[in-house]
Amino acid sequence: MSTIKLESADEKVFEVERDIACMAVTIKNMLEDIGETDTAIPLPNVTSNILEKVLEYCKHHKEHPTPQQDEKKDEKRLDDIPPWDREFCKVDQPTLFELILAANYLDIKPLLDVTCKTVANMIRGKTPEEIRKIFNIKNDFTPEEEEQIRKENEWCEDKGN
Amino acid sequence: MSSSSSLSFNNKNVLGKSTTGLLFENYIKEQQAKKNENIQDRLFIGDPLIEDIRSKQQDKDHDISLSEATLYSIEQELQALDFKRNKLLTGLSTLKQERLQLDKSMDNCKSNILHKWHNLSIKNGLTTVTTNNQNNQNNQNNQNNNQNNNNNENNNNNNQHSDITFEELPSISTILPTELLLNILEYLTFNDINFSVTRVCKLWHHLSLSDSIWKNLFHIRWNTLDIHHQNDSKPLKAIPSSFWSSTPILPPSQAPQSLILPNSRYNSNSNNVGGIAYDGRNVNRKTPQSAIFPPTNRSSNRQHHNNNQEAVDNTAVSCEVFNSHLSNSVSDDDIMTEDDDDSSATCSYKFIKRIRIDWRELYLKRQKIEHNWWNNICKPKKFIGHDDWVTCMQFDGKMLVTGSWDSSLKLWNIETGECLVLSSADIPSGHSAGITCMQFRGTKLISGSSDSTLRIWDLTTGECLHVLRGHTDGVSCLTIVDDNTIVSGSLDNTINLWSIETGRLLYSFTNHISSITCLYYNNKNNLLISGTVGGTLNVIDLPSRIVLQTLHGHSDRITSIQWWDGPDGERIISSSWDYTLRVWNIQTGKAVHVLSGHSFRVRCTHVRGNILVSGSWDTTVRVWDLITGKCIHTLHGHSFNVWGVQFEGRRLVTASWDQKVKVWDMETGKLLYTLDGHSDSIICLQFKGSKLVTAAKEIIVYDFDL
Repeated sequence: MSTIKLESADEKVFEVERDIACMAVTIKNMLEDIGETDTAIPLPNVTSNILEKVLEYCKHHKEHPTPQQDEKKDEKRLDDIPPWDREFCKVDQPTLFELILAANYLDIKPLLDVTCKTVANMIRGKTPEEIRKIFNIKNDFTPEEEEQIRKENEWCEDKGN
Repeated sequence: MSSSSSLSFNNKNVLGKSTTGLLFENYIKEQQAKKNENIQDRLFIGDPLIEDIRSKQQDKDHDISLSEATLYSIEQELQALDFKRNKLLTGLSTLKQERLQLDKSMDNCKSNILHKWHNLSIKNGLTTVTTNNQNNQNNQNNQNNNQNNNNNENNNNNNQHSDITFEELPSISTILPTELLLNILEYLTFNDINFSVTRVCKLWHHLSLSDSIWKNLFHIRWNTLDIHHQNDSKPLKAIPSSFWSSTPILPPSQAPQSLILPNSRYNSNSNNVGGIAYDGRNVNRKTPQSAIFPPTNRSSNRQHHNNNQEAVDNTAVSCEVFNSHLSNSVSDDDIMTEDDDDSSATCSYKFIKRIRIDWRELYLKRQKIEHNWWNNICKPKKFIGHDDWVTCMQFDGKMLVTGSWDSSLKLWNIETGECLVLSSADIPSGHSAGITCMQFRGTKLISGSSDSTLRIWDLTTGECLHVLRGHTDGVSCLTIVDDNTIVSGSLDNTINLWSIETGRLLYSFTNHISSITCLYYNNKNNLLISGTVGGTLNVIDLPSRIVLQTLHGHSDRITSIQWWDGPDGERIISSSWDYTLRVWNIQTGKAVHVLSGHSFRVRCTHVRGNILVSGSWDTTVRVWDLITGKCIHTLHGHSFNVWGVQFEGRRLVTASWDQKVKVWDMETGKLLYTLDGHSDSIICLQFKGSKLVTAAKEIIVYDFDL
């Protein structure tokens, strides 16, 4: 099993199996471009603690591949996070956001999906005020604007379906 | 005294003696017995006083042993409790310790998180205030110590942090780029987006209006991306309305449809019958001046009337739109025809690509329509134009074609009430007997009649292109196979295959032994299924023209054939006058389920998902679970033969000879409401999007888009 080296933003070098690293499409493409190499691939956008988490995720999913659900691939649903991934995403907000950024940068779709779903779950069922508190967002609406939006969206939820 | 007498009585019983003298003797003996226990015991047996004391003694003994036992058990309990107590005490102290640990780790975490926030904000170039930077540095220094931990220091740290840094912490919106935020928001529900996300802040409000979110919501809510339900009466937001016509408010269906008018028999008149009514029979001689089409090439009996006075400045563009509309309407029609990718479909694809679809507006509009459907908020329009019952109709959301037993065939503009008469008794190229079946695709319409001919019509001009002669008895049913082929079934026991282009007879299936009553074509497998008066069904492979299976089981006329892609393979569902419905495995030719329960002829069916709905002459409608073959609901409410059923989602619409249309909640089996308005028995029912069309002799269009 061949291995490759990855270098995080804070200059820590990780040696990982090639197959695991290649779950990140960005790395896979890089490797295809540069061919065999012994030098560490620099990942300037990912810090070591995040890269460690990302690699943990890749390793687990290499060993436990999740079956692809083709029929629902276009639909975005929240209720299908596997237990291991759920545990994996029990991290603090900054780490979660950095994971999202890393997954996006490294192009690891399943990790991006599961982290985004986790954040979506934090939003789901919350009032605007609660969301603002959770994510430290300032309310930049004037009361008039707020009232206007409230009126615009006054929609009766229907029972059909 | 009484006591002594009772005592003497006792003695009498015990000793068999009754004299008081003996009592005294006993007492003496008792005294003596104290010296000799054996004798004494025997002496005092039965002595009332002694007995009394003895019983008291026994009571006390009992009490003593009872108390002792209780005491013992209490002592045991005490011991156990004590044990428990000790255990709890130790447990409590460990819990307290653990709690302290948690406090510590909470502090650590908080400190860590703050540290991470700071790093993030530095990374994102967000830290602006110098004092914060300083603290930040402090924090970082302390952070290194944190690992080796000094709890108090950590706490101080945290306090410091929370004091200064909260305001300046980066928020989710500053860290994640817009596309990732959108990615997250796309996982939310309608309520989250519409009531919460949109009210968080200006940026989120802006994001909450994004198409990708609403497209996803639309897909989940209606399990389809078919937008043509929607845009039938209002131009999509992004298209300049001048694209449709010169009037900004003019619905697209109106502008293009008016283009049908010039060379055609187009007459319309409005009479008020009940609500709004249109009378297609009256030929309006007073043709108002139309700005679009100067009344030039008008033949003697081809009148036209244009309610739409607005000028369309670019006919070519509108023409193109109209054609796209026609092709759209075909490709998304899943009831009458099977979807297929033909040239017209590519045309509609191009059309869709040119516009930006406002998914939010579509979603909200469709939701409103759904709400109206559930709450009976609709506007009925009555169209009068046939002298006899309408026997067949097709409605694609925009175009409505009706065929009647009076041998007339009419194309309606449901917005304006205008009516294009294709066939009628006075038109030489028309059918000479009642229309029994018809179907349109693109700009071609095919009709079958009891005059034993079929006719192909051009919908844009109203002209009859071909008369298909070959059947020797009335045509009972037809179905379009592809753009160039149709199949018709007749009472003469034959099924004919025709070319639409040339009108030629391509093939004739003559192996049926009774009249054909219905046909179904499945384009995925190229299979044609025919039903007969006798009750047999034939599965025909169309390319090879070989009958693959003959399905025996029904004992009377087949009234409808449906296709069901079940979990275990492809199935055919047939309904019959023999009161039953059957689910057939086409591979084996055997019936998988026989659905019995109706007490009279089954007339009509509709299948979606794994649900089948059947309407019967026994006045009931039944909802069936196709997987188990069980009846889920029997809907009572109609008072006469049910002739039409159709459902979508949970909403089921039924029409009956009792002149009523009823809307049901299929999940509960409850009647939602009844639509009145017809004055004759209803034969046909079809809804699409916001519009429900029912036909008896008169036609009513219920519009739920208000």
